[in-house]
Amino acid sequence: MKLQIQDVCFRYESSSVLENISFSVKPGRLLALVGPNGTGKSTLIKCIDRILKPLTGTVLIDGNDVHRMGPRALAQTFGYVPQSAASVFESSVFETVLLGRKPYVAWKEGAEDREVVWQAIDALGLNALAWRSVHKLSGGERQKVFIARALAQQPQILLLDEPTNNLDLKHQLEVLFLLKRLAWKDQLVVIMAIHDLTMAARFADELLLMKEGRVHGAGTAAEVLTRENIADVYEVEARIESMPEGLVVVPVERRPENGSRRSETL
Amino acid sequence: MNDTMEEVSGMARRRIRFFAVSVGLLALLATAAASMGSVSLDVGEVLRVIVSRLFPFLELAVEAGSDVIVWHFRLPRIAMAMTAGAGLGMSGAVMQGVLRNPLVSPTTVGVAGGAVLGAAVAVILGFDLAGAARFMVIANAFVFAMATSALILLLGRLRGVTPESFILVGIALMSFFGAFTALLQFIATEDQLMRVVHWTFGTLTGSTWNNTGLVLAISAVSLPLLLRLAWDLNAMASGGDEVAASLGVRCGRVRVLCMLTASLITATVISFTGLIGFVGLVAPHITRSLSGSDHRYLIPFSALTGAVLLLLGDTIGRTAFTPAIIPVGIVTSFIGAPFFLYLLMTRKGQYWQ
Repeated sequence: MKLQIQDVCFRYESSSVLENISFSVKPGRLLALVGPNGTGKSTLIKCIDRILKPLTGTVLIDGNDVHRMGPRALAQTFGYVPQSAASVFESSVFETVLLGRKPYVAWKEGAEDREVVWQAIDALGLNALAWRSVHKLSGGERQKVFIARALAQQPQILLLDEPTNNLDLKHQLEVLFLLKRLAWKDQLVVIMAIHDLTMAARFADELLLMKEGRVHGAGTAAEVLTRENIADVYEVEARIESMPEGLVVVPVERRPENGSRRSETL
Repeated sequence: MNDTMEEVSGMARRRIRFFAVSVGLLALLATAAASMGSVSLDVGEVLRVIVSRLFPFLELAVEAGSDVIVWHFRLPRIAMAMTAGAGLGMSGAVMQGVLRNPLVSPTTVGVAGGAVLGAAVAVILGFDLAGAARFMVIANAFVFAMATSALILLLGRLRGVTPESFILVGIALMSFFGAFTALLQFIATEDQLMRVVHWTFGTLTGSTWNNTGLVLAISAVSLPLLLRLAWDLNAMASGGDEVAASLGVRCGRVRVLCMLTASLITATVISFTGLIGFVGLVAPHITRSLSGSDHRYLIPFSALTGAVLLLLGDTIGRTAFTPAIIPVGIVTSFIGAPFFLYLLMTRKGQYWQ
């Protein structure tokens, strides 16, 4: 399923958050949304999933307007993983992942729903924790539970809002390898917002660099993560190194306000 | 995967056990409560009265005094304790879930403040809404409570249908109505003051089969509706609004519907009984810790827990200091408050995160 975003605009009251965002992602691809805080990455993700209603613009799946889909069909197509959402009430990992079956279940979940839940739990290596309370898990484990819940929705498109936030290196790698594998193996469209440019460069097939609600650059890491782009968007001088695993972005210093680029590094 | 499947059936077993134990406890408590009181009756006598009333064609010989005590005083009271407790328990479960807040209860979200004001207006100003003096306090409390919940929903909606909106608006209205009630009490005669204060104690004295039937009917109509929303509630309580929306839940609609239904149950109950605190707060907590947070089971099971708690509270209040009867509202708070403190102390860090 090919995902196309066309001219999506969104406003919170008076201030414009997204302006004419257009891009498309093919199945099997992992797209990273990058850009400074407050550029509308999260908003864009929510607009795609229709958690927020875009002011104008369309989201198309294989040419079909998402707007015409009912909430149930939408929930069977898009899986959403929020930034962090620990419940106030205790529930087990199994019960939390079972929620992903909501779009398929009327009242009592069937054996096949349980099977899907176990597959999702298994895919994230959570079997040993299945009956533990989500409260008692570490941040990394919890993130995996939420990804498992989204997988239990059996979505074609997986949307993740900073999935590596607050995770240590090991868990960051684990989650990103998993997303990459999901995109490849199940031919999902995976879109994630992420701050770490080096990780984005290493794992994403494509990057979408956003600045103040607009697309500033799109393409491969090499095309998007240039010194100029980073200086424009983040107001930071950075060194871009090419390593065997991918590009490495080293922020060097804050760019002066007047824009004259000094490079008295270190 | 075998042992994990066993865990699933283990969960089912836990639920079955919870159901069996609470129903058994309820039956036991009800029988005990019917035989205990200022006049002690043995269980056989109580059962004979019930059987003779349910199956009059058997023409069982029953002492007239026992018949009056059991059928006209104790059983309606027991039935009211169970239905009111059940109503408060399930309202509490629904409100806590839909507002994502374990500290919320039917008597703390503003509805109760409206009910108290309604009762005070009826007693002190003699303001008659329903046109029937006998039901004035009940009708007024109900109308004020429902008007309050409508106001909370309306103002909450204006601010955005978030849990915070409802809670904050509820708190604001609660304290406004509290001030209004205090003002009325200030100008009231001593007799009126006493009646209002007594009303806020919450008591099951004066329960009749008719009152009980009405509370039961409202709860019975509401339960299927709330159960239909159980998955939605699970998604909202566990994942939050955004996750729930991505799972296909129309959060605003569900929140308003749940609050309205839970408020209706609460308003019906407390307009008959007066303020009964803590049952609606504590019953869902007890139920959650024993049988999990899945609202498909949490809602009906909280009703059972609420019924047990209120019947237990009333029976203690009725028998501990015979012939004096301590209002059940006082007893439930006496038991409920320490229990709630215990929950707060042993589970710190889980609330308000």
